[in-house]
Amino acid sequence: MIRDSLSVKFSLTLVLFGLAACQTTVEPPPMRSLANSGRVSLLCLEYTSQRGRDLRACPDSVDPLIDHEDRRVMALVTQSLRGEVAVIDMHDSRVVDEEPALPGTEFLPLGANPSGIVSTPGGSATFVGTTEPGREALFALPSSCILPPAVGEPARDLSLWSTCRLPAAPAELELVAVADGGPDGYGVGCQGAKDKAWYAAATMPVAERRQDCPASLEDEAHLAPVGRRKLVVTFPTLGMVGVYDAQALLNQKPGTFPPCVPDAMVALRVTPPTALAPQALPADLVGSATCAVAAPRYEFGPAPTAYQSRPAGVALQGGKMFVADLGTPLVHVLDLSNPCAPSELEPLLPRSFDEPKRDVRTRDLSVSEPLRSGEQFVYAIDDADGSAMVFDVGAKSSQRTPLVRPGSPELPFEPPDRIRFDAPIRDLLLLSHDAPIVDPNTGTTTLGTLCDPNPNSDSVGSLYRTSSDRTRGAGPRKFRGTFGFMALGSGSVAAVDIEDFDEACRRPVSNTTPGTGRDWRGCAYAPGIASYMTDAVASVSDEVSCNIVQRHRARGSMAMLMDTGIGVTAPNLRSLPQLSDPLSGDVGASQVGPARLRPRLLAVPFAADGGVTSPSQVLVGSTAMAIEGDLNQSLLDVDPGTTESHSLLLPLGEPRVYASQESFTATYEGAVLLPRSTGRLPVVSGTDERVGRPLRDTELLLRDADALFCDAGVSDEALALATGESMGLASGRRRSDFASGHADYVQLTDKFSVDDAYFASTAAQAACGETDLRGACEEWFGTTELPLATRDLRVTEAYHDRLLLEPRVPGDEAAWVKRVHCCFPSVHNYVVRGGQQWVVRGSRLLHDIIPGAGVRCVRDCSPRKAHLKSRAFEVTSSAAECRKSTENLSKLPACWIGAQATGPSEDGVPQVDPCVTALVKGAIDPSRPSAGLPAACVFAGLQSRFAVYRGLAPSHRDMAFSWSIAGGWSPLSTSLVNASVGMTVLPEFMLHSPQLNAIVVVDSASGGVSLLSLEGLVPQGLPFL
Amino acid sequence: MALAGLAFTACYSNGDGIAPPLSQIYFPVGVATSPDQSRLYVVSSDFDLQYNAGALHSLDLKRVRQLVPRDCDKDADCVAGERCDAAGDSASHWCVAKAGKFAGKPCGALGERAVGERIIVPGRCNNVDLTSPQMGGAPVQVDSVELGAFASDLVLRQGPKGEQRLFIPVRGESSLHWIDVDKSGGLHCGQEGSGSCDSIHRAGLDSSDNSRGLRMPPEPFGIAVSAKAEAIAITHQTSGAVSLFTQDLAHWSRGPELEFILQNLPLRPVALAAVPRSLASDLLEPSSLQVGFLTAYRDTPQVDLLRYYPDAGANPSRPFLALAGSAQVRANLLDYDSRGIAVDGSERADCEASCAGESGAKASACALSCANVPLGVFLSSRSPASLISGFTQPDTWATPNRDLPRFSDVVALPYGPSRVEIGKIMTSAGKLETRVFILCFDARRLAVYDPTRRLVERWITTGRGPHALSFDYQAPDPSRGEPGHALAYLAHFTDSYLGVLQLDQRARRTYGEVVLGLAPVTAPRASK
Repeated sequence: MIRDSLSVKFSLTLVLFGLAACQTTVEPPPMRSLANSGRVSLLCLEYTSQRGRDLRACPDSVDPLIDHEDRRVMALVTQSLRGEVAVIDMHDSRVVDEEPALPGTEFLPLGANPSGIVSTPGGSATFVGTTEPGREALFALPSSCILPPAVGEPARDLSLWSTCRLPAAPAELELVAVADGGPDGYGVGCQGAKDKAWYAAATMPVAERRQDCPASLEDEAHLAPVGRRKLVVTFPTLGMVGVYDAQALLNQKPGTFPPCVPDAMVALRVTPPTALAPQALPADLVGSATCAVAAPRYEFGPAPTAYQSRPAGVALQGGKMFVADLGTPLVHVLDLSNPCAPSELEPLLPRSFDEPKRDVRTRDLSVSEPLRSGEQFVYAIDDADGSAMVFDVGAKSSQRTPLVRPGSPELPFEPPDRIRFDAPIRDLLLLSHDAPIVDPNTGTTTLGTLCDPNPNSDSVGSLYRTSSDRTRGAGPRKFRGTFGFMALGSGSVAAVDIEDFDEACRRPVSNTTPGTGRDWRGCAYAPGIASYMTDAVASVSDEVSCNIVQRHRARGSMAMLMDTGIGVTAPNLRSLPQLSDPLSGDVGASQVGPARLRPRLLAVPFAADGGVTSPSQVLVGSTAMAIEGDLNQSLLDVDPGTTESHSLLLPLGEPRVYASQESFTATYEGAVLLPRSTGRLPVVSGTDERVGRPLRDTELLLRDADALFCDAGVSDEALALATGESMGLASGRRRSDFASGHADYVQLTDKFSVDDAYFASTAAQAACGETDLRGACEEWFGTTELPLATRDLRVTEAYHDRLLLEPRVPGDEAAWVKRVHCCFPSVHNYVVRGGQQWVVRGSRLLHDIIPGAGVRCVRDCSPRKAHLKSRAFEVTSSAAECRKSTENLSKLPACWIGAQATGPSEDGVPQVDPCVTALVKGAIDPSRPSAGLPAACVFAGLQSRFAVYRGLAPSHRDMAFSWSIAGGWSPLSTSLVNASVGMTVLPEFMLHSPQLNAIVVVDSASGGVSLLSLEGLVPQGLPFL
Repeated sequence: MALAGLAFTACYSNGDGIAPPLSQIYFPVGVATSPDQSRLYVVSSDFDLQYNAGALHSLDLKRVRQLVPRDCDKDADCVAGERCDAAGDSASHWCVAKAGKFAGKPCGALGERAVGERIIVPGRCNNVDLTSPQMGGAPVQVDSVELGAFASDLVLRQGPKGEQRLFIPVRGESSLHWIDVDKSGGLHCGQEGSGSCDSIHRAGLDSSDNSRGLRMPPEPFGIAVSAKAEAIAITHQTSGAVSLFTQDLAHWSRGPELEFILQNLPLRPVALAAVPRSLASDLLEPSSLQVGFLTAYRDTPQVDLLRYYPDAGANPSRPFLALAGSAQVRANLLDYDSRGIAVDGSERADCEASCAGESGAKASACALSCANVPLGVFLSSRSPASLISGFTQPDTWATPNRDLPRFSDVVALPYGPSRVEIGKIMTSAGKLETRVFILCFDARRLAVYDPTRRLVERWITTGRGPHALSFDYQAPDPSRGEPGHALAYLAHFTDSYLGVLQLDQRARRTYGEVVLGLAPVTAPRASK
């Protein structure tokens, strides 16, 4: 059987070989040896003597012939599936074959399921934890035996390693040191070891230790961390952290499997504080905590009666070890300044701003070095959603909860206290890096020099400015400062800004005018600087926003430029908006003919903000267009009386709000909730639990539990009424008319199928009093192709799982309700539409509606939702001229804004227009509040700014403006995909190597190990496979 | 590939050809353990069309457990007449006979498998013959019956009165076989006389059985059945469709009927799982009692929530499935080619178990609170090979249904992950713990994933074509002298046998290994 199989394979190989022979060039497939790699550790090895060296002495910059040393960085990579450790020689760029006599590439065999791995700073040895159930162990790999054996040396097999048995599966390993090595300089270090055999091993004289694979850690005790090496091991199933003497493990007799004897064991705390202090809020979120309807949205079941700690990832910095925990909502902080007596300090308290009732567990973390400001940050991965939260653990910080960032109202898609990417974060790494420039005056370099944008300065910081050709200096791929790097499940490594030394140099060249606020680019006035452009030379990057770099947010992949000479990489309209009319096709904004009957969507200049004004402009393709001012730009005409095109503006205060490309529509009475097919209109007898009373005979109840109406943004009469009030509608009648006219409505979209047995049933016919029930239904409600207004049902009360409805057409509502029950007896199709307004939708509908008490849809008063808008009301004119007949297209009235509604419309639904001007033409000017229009008449959304002016004829359903925005934000990331591994990538683990000036990334899917250079976050060659 | 080609062109007819050997497992594709863990049901697919039908087998699990070797460290760990085989390089550390023909032989009458063969067929001992065990005694197989060729899966559910029924999608004829099981493990599907299931027990074939005039579409594949069996969903792997069968619980004996075909889903839905029923469902208003299914696709990176609507308000009622929502999968590079999905409701179930001591309003409050415990959702993907995990986000105060997952983690797997199953292992402390088991068909691996520690605890090397898995575990009960056990039965598709996996960590030398094989190893014809 096997022989046959081999025969087939051989034949196939021949065929392939034959095919390949026809090609001019045969590229051999890359040889792969690594598989399911897990963790990596680095050490410096003197290759000839096979002795460890200080990692900082690698790679060897001196010719071996001179110093007689050949120092190489070696990477040791755990192989999860095979229970082995692979050795990569980074100098020769090869995976070491430990047994060249055998086919394939052999590695160092260990126990099954290796977990953590750590090498000593002096490169003497590497330690690995293994987790095979029943055989949990620590292995010690002396560096003297990690290369293939020479003649006479022992084989690199399982019996070669010193090992000991652990009480449970280990997870992470770290190395610390006891500074006081004891009376003999490198004694036991901890005096607590009671086990005689273990103590003997720990204190074994060098001469008595194994000589086949020697490793004496005292040789490197002078290297930081100075002192006797101790292994810190986490035990997820025990909820404990243990400290073990590294030399004692190295001195165990190979082939034996004694128990590992800890110097100390710490049981991690399992009880979170009973009273949690609230997260500190930035100024732009103050009020959200006290917002009446911002009660915790989600429940997560009862709190556990008891927690069990499951320590996960760890991070070590300055004698403190931070421990993530998958079992308790705590990030433990261990004081390891004395590893013999570790103690747990007050823990960090992971929690979620959006889901405060959730127990937030963490699976990995990283800690930064202290920043210039003294701040220091821990990033931890939230296990429930794969995002990262930020803790300030600096000396000045007393906060133990995740940091809530400012700017959330402009970035509603990302939780205020989370850094989130499209794919879950697999691993994270915080590191500091600089690329100092030699000061030409002193010939010295200084780390941490801030970029100086002041055009009047020639300080050292000015050397870090973006060069005119943008190939040097401040830019997205220049890493100077402290950054976070996130390995994502999507196969890439993304960067996060923490402290960018070049931040000040990345902004527009134009300064804004004096004031206290920020302009539409997010820029505040910089005193003493007229412009960042002097003699046609910019001292800054001239990017479109002052918020290109923001702390604890994803770093952008490109410089966001409006420079049409170099290329447009900033948010831009692909073209000016277009209007389509379902009745007459595309319609322009011409001033002649039927086009004047149609509405216009026109840009509105940015408002003054805190005294700061700035010329409003927008990129349309590669053309910069401004509403006023700059002669170098095309001008946008935003007056409905003269303009020939629709237009809008793009706010740039928060460039991250723009997707790389997104299409938008503004549709008259457009869909708020996209079509659904699972609505039911039951006959409700008795009190409905949500409505709280029996239904009137003029009312219907639409139920659809999965529709999540509030999340979809459905607005009922009460919400419409509140909108009217906010727009200054004070009198009762007008307010109620406004509410009924502008509340959303359900349009039933079922067809009355001839195949539906229901219509032929005598019971149904008798109940409805119609022998041709189907025909009657078509007569009452029309068809799906030609629906009648009787299919429209106003939403009088919206709940998360049901809607209370009334017929939208006036008349005998009770009779129509009966007819609805007759013609829509079962589950049916429907769509929810906005009433007499324009519904603006990009990839989603932005709104501030949430389920409140009793799951009634209410408006969220949180400041975070303040900018979420999806409804635009038309600007109308009260001028008498505008009411004149428009039947004669060649003699239209001298009015360019549609007339204000003054009474019931043709379908009988009362109309009240909230945005009424006395003018017949003229654009909205936000600097002239005397125009009398409520501020809400300007659609000031996160991604667009415009007003809709009614045409001379009323707008009708499904008229739609459409536009697309390109050049949006994309996070800086580097994919591990390459020609060697194809798409089979899944980053698992990262390590910073200052020696290689790179991030070492382990890819568990391909098994490969990649290097990403910190000079641009680009791959350094192909991965080691 | 050739076999796959055959599968597409063939159709089931048991009128011609050779009848399947009912004592032999043949390309097994589904296994299910009875609720009392007394029986194991195995469905043979007849994938290479060597026979004119597939088959269903009923095995005696008590007998199987008797045959599983017992780990030991010393003689005292074994019963009278046995000693511990603990000496020598090849010591098994199993209890072996002290005397007799098989004294000292770890495999006894089974005999030892050649070391070289163990590379392909893991396990020290030869496989047990199902009908005539080599060591004598009662047969392992209790009953068997013929069914259509190309079955694809197997699910067991209990009826309102504890009746047991097996549901089997059959690709060869596009039907849903349903087979009742009696208390002794006997199989009943109208096979009297012909030996194969009658037309009554093959639902979906007759378009006159339903008010919509439906016939089951081709290539049924994955099946999921609601907890009470009122709704049965089946994916169709060559089209974007999911069939709905309903089972009238008030008339259990009638069997399921095809009621609806949900069309226009993304192409190639394969993975399917029922959302566990919450205890709180009984406390909510009847219209909220919506059965849900999660399905995933080979061609599209999304998980869809399908809801079953009984349409009870209509006359006549015509139940249907509807797409209630979609969750994008953005956890690994390409995110598609999902082959298996499983929903872990164990944490919620544990919470609900704690409500047992409550009554009245407290019981309701407890159940409602527990309904908010998120469900774990696990998805296998081949782009690249990985396990994607996430949670649902219950929201019972707002709506009883919010069963779409959000994915939060991903773990690399060896090549060819396919089905995902939720089961339990026994820890070394004698406690049952939940694990996620991912079958990697191509790589011959079974990953045992610990969802609480977020890591693969054990990589089990299997035989060729690991395809289906079922569990058999019981917690220790000292009061009854019951030590407890944790085993799993792994159907090896390619070589047509079952491997018995030890999942008890107290058996520390054999944990995660194949300790017994059931049915002879039969390599496919192409490789003979």
